[in-house]
Amino acid sequence: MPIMIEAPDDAVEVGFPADTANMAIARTVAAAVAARADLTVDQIEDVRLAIDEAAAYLITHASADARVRGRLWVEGPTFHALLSCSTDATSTPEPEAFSWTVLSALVGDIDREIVDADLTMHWALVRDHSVSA
Amino acid sequence: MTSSTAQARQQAEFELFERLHAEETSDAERSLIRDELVEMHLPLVRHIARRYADRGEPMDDVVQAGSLGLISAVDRFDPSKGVAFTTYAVPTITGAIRRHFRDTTWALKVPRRAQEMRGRIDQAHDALAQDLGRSPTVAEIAERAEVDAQDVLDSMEISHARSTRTLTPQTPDEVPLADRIGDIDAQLGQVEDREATQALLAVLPEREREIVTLRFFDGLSQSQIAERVGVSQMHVSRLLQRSLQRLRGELGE
Repeated sequence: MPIMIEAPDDAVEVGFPADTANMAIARTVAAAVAARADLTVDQIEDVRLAIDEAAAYLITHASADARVRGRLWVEGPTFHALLSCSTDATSTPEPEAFSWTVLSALVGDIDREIVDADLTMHWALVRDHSVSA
Repeated sequence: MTSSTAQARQQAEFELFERLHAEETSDAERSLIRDELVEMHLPLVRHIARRYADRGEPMDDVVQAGSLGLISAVDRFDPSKGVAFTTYAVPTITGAIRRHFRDTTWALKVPRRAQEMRGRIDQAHDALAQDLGRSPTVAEIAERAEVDAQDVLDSMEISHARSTRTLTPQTPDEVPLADRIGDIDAQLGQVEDREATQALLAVLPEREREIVTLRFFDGLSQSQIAERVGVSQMHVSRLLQRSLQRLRGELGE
């Protein structure tokens, strides 16, 4: 699915070399942004795990010396993650089955596409409906 | 995975769940089907457990906690609801693993101030979860515990970055870590409410009770228990599963 969404100007941005050793940084930043959206603690944990799975997918298909770029923002009750990384792949690579199972179970639909040699993905998580904002 | 094998797999899984819930299925058959469904999805548990590999907990324990979540998902999943089993199982598995981490943080080595703060935050978390019937938000915990939202986030972060430290004190007034590692383990809390479970242990036959106690209160591994009780590790595993099943059933009533 092509990605229709664009990160707003006030999105938080995190960038790091495409290496799994750096995923903890992205997790921490994402958790802080998710807390701002008043996601529940369990949902924040979901965000952390989802960031792991998503970053692992990008890193697997990253070109040499690529960097992962993550843009994270909150819009109303929704936490958004738009993640990208340069790739040598010419068509959107098939994700690893377990990773995708976990990621989709956590966040629902995941859009992904390659634009200008950048593998990009977007997913979102909506605040638990019983939380009053 | 190609979509046709994925579909075939899902179909087979669906049929297993149908048979699991069918009235004509015998108890013996039901138990076999349950085992098969659990085994089918163990690789998923291992995959998720690996995501928690850098948090200083033995991988076997994390996998075991996740497996308990998986078993409970298999038991509770309703195939007629139209959702895929994995969609249902993932939160249950991650929930069981997170509870495992929450319940075993007594091994954590942090400064006293952070420890006290963490105690307040954990208390607020648990009380709110009870009051609200859902996981609380960071802001809610901060308000209840009278701390900053950042403290709550820090505390969550700490529970992700546990490392094994020396057992001997590094400064004269530090409580040795060895003294803080008790015999009683809150791991049973990951299955259900711990105190209720303790009282419930009485419903188990002698040997099962011993095995559950050794595993969850004395913290022995399945292999260690096997050696002590004189049965195979596989058998210990089966007895544990069956016992926990039974305890869960008792708690559910």
